[in-house]
Amino acid sequence: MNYRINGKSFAAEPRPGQCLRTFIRDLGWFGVKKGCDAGDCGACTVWLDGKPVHSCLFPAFRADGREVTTLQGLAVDGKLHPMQQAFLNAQAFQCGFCTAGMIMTAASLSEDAKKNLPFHLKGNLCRCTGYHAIEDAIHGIASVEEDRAGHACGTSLANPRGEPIVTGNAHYTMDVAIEGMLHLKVLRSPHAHARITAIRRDKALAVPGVRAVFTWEDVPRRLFTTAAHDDYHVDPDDTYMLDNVARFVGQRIAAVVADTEAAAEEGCRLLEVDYELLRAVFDAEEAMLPGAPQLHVGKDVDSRIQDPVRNIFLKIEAETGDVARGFSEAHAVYEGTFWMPRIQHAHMETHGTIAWRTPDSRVHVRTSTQTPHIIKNKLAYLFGMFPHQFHVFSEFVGGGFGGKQEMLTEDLCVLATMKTGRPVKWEFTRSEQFTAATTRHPMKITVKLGARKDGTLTAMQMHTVSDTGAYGNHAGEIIASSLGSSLATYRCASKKGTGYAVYTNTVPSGAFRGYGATQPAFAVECAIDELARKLGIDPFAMRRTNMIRAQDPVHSIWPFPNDGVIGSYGLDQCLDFVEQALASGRGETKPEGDEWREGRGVAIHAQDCAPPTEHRSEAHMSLLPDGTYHLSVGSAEFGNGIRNAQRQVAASVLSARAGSIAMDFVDTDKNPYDTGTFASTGTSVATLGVQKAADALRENLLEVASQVSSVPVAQCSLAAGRVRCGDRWLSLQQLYEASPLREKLHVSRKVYGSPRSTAFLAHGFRIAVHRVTGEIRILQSVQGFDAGTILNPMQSRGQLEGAIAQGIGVTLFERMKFDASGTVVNPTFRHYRIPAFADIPRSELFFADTYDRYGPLGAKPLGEAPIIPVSPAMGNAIADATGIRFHSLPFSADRIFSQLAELQ
Amino acid sequence: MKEFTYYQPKSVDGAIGLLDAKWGKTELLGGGTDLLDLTKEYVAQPDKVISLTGIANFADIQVAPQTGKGSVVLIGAGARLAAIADHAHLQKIFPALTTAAGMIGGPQIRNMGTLGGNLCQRNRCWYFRDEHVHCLLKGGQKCFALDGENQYHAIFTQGHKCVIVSPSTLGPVLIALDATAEVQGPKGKRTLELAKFFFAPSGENEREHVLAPNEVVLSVKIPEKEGTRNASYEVRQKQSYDWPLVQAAVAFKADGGKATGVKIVLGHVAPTPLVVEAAAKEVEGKEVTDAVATAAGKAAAKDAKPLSQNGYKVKLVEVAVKRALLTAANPGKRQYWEV
Repeated sequence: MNYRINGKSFAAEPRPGQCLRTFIRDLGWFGVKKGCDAGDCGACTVWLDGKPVHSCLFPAFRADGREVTTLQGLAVDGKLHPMQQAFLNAQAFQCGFCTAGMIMTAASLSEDAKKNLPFHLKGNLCRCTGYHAIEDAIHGIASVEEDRAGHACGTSLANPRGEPIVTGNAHYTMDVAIEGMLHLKVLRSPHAHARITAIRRDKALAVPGVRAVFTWEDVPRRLFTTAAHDDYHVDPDDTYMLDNVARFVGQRIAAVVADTEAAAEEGCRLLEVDYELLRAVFDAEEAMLPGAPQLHVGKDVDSRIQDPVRNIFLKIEAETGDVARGFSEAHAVYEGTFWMPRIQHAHMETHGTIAWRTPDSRVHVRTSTQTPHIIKNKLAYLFGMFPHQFHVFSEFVGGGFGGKQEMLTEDLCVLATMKTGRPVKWEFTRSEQFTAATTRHPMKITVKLGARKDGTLTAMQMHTVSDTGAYGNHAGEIIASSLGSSLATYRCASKKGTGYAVYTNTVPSGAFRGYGATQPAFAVECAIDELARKLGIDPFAMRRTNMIRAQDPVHSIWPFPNDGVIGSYGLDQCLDFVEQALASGRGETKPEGDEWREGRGVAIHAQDCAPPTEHRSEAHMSLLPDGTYHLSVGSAEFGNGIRNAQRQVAASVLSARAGSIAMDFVDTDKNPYDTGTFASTGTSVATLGVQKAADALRENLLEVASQVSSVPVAQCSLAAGRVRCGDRWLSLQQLYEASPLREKLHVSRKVYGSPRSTAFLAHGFRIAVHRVTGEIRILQSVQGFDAGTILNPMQSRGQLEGAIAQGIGVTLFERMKFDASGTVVNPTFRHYRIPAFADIPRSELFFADTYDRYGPLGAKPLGEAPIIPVSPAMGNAIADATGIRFHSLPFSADRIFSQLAELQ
Repeated sequence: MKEFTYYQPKSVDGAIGLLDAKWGKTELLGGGTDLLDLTKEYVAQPDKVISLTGIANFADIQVAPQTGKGSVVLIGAGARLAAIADHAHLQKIFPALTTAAGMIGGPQIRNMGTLGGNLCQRNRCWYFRDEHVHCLLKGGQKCFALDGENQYHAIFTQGHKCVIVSPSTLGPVLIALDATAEVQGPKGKRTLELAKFFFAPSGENEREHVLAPNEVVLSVKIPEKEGTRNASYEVRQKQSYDWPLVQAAVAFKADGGKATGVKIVLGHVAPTPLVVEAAAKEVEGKEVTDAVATAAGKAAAKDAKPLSQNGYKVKLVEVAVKRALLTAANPGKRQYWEV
């Protein structure tokens, strides 16, 4: 058969049933991506004779004799297609993974179609951007500003790696061809709780191309946790690489490696496993009752599980002040129980790893991760090897949102490459993302608040039951976090919290943007409104009376001192903005008719930057012979824009152009240690390290300049990418050449995540609810955020817009559903519905004017928190519109209609 | 996916010759948007896949004017959904059809999916689509949705052992428009009213339509009636790419301000599209006012027997019928519920 792909002709024969996506990739065009492999997400969109189609559902045979165009074929003679240029100008991407398909659809739109983007972009999902920047790009609006020396900080500088993203030449984890590579697939448990009594592998091994089968008998019998933390003691070592007990539907049972993915898949299907079925428990409260099935009994001390008999990994309880007295002094008390379901990150690039060995006994691990250094240490531990024997690295990573603060694919790839001697690749399917990756912890939270007549809070009490699923990765930090920031957001002398992190036979929970703060914020912020309603106080006034102030300590339930601080304060500005914006009359008007009810809602949050446990980072910075700089830092970039922010901070300190600072992809061989990019540490820790390194280099450069020029150091300065010594100017190249001590031109600085400053935010919605259908229209969405100095306004807006979109998804649609056997019934984007362009309003954003005294150049992080107040602001708006308080998420029609039906 | 042999016959006879007389071993490939997904998930495991794209004129859309009676529209089963949605003449006379076709999937799906595929696609039940669940339609003993997770399932469940919803969005519209389908099998051609095209399956040897395993849909014929008003309205969970939760297709003749020959058909609420005569009666001979449309909606929903988690869809039926009627009665008017 004859194919024309991007103007080049190929004679090739697709495999029977092969879809166009994998066929194109097999021919080396990696610009076509897999997001879902089921026609739901559009990342694989290509043109067939000029019309966009999902290449994952298009039979490769059918492209015979037709013209196939992928993103890599859109530029003509090296000149970008206007839509590629528009995506660059608007920076209409974050991780860039969906961009390959998004541009192909966008570039096919007529001018008329561009007027109705909600309709025409139905087939392309983006989880990062919230679609605003994409809309800008399609309408030709540019956001990128000029990179001028000395003005890097506060400027909307483009992602330095934007061009590979818009041309399809960005290499994500799976975008390499390696000679002799084997493919790994995993057989997963069909049972929620079962002991394996036998595995017969003969039939699997007889499949042509199958090279090896690994079961629990083939792996190091060493307990570990998949969670990535600097201090691994915070997570229970309760997991084996492969186990003889399955604790959730979807747990790994055996791995098959084969010459092709199809053979590996066939091998898995032919494995015969005998199970002894065990009783399973799916509800966290039931799991704590006497007689409930026990998941990890016998693992207490080794695994650091507090009460394995009752399935409790960790119970936390603490009190400050005197809550009983606080409630006795209250004129009004509200108590309510709120429930948040299991949800998934849905980053567009699924988990995946490629590993291989080199003759020097080193193992190279190319992987999609937020925490390469921790992965390296974990692998060394698991395989009983030295850390330096592992080389862990990424190129482009297609989104994370916390999901990639976890070791889910690296270990088995390493095992297989060690055993077979061949490179081994493993890529999760979209279904595996739902059934076998991690999720947000479902929580049931009871909040009790008491206040005096004037609204002053007298006591706050919270009881949290967090379902960590079958394994305890992140469960401890999350349960602690759930009793932290949402209570610390309010000043109140008496606070008490109890939290349980509980095992159940469901897919493990893990890190998720907002990290244990989102669920309690929903409970607390809804409760604050209910209490205000009881007292007849306006929700804004209620918050102003009680919210944390600039001089306050940051405290929740713990009576001992902590390192949480307020480095700058802008919560008041954020709340003022939201109130004024909602009252402004901007946004959409309510649809006509008395079937629609209108309401407004607000929620606030104070978010601590960095985890209370260990977090470290180191930055190296050098002046190079050609007068440019090299910056090396180990924090991962996965679409969050952190590397650009780091470059900008260094450029500002050195009065240089950001473009004069080169950075590598994250790589444990090239970068110094960094705990990882999570818990908002990319800015508050790693970028602070960058600032310190840049400060140190600047001092050294001025000292060298003074020596070389014999001008006092006080009269030397860096400006416009050069050095001024009195009235004489030196280029950096000249300085390098003249420097007597080259060592002075290389610096290193380490930072530690303490103290932890606080970011503030408020979100508001004005909505209309249809009282019959339960349809919710967002008429206005506004967010005010205090992130201190805004290092890159365009990127910062993008982080807020993306987080708000994710928040709207989990508030209105998203929920993993389990059937009675503990199986996820909606493990596809068709049934687990994340927002598309049409579902997301344009939010009005505001950044408070503050300067944080601890953060890099006054900055505080902002990628994590903007999701936090979205759900409660929506819940409060619905309550305002209907008078009905909905206590559980999501607010989908099927779940809210019966209460709405009572409205007439 | 299981490997299979691919065929691309040049004629309908060629295709029929390749088809097995039983379900399972052979599958027809239209746009592939459903079949490729089913094979990747091992829900369909055919030995032979027979592509229909090699057949001449299979995707044609013909409008044949008839003297004094409006036109007759003939749409080939291979016509792409995008071609139907974007057809200027169809938009004018059958807005119900072009609207429904334009709402299916996203642009990429509509560039691939076909009319025949939309009518013959498999249902979207998550138990059916999970290879490991041995449900009625896969030869098993029970319907897992009946007492399981059923928020998207049928609400008109009377007499049905399997409570899927018909996944076709064009089916209800074509029934409302009195369309007929021409199908061909080993014994030749036959013509079938769309109203008799769909079937509520309850076993592995049954499909969501009445065609035999070796029959092929050739085309659909729609008669244009003078003064016809028609519309399709869908309620979705999100604004974007989803199968509808509920769909109402309506058609009637606007006869001096009164509606006659009223047809109201529901989609995505029962194992087949559902003609609701009681609702049509509420409108017959009357002006389509807000009150009449509301009454029709209530009548349409009256006999629903929802499952444990999908009672909300009953309310949605009321709204969908009301909105479809008001849309049809007021062509070109921007309705208050439109974004």
